[in-house]
Amino acid sequence: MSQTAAIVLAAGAGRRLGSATGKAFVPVEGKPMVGWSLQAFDACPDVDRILLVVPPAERARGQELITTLGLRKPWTVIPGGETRHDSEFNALEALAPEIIDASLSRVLVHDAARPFVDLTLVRRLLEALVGQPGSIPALPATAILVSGSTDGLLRDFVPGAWAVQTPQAFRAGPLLEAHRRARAEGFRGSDTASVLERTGQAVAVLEGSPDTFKITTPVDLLRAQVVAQRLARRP
Amino acid sequence: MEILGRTVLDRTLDTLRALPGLDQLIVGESPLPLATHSSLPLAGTGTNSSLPLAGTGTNSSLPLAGRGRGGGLDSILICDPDRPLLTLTMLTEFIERTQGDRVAVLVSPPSDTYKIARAGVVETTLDRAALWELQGLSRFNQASFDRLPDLELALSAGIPVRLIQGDPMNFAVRSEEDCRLAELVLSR
Repeated sequence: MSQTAAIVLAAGAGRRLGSATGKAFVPVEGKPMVGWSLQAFDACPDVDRILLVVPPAERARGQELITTLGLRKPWTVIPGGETRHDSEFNALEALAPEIIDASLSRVLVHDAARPFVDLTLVRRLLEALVGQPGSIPALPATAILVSGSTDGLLRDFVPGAWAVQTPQAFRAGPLLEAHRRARAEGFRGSDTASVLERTGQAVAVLEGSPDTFKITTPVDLLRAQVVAQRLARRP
Repeated sequence: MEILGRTVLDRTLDTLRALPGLDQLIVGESPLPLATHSSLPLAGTGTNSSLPLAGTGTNSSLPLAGRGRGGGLDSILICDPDRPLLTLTMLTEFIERTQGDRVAVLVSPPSDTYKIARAGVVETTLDRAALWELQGLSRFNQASFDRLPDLELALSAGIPVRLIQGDPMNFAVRSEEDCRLAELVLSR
């Protein structure tokens, strides 16, 4: 039976967070940020294996973390690239033999900077792959969004945008092919879905979860603390 | 909603009241509040008004029409009411950095990727490097508006609107959980 892999991208530096260490290892309520996602995917019945992508210098630390967390599913730790896009590419190439022989048919790509994974949402994202090769969670923008010019002036208002989250779900074959094509053509996407979109393939948008926000600044880290405490109180 | 015993609106107003050079503070029902500002330090001489504004609740309801271009105001600040962590330092820096601008607005870079979707499918991914999120504070100098201090009107009139990067601490407080977060920030 064909499997599903969760790719957890944890190679970000966390410059806006002011972190001296890799962002994914900054603690959230006493646990490294990435640990939350790893445990969620380990508990997810729709995920068969986990691939953790960390900065090259942090590989041993990633392995040690997974051992400490006691993950039960098969896991691998691989080195990330210079950008998020490069880390994605490394992960897909690591999975390429299984994607090509069709033993791995679906991948979830997730940012470790979003520690609170909604497993109900994961199920819906994977179910949506029946209709199209990609599906992503998103919420309508709550902030008023504008575009600016390079000289620091307001260019226009941007109404009706959706703030995209992760995990993003894909049929593994089309994503690998799109990523290889992007590499050959020098394209780097700001998220995984954009790699598929540029090939003209449909990506479904599903309603995301407010808790699946991204930790970018110190304020986000405090928000994560508030959310973690609420989730801990949940029966 | 309250943060450490004071309402979100009161905290926002406290910061505006502490601003040197503030002549008048106008509180509308929605959006709130709005302040007028002169370049001279007039601390202690300002007046506050609380005006229940009938109508649409947009800027067009505010009693400012015709007060630009020699109508008595040096500049107008428009501040969303849900920014209780806006500090006097942030506000002062914003004003100092926008002295030469006809219109300016406080912004922050987005954390998320934004897309446009149609019928449940992605239509396009927006270039994140060119995107900004408004942070609920704008400034219009007296020469920038004939009738209404409004960003969209300024843009359509061809008036340059300067984007000033703000502090991520100045986040919008719109829920009880946001209040708990604000308390956590203030306690540090």
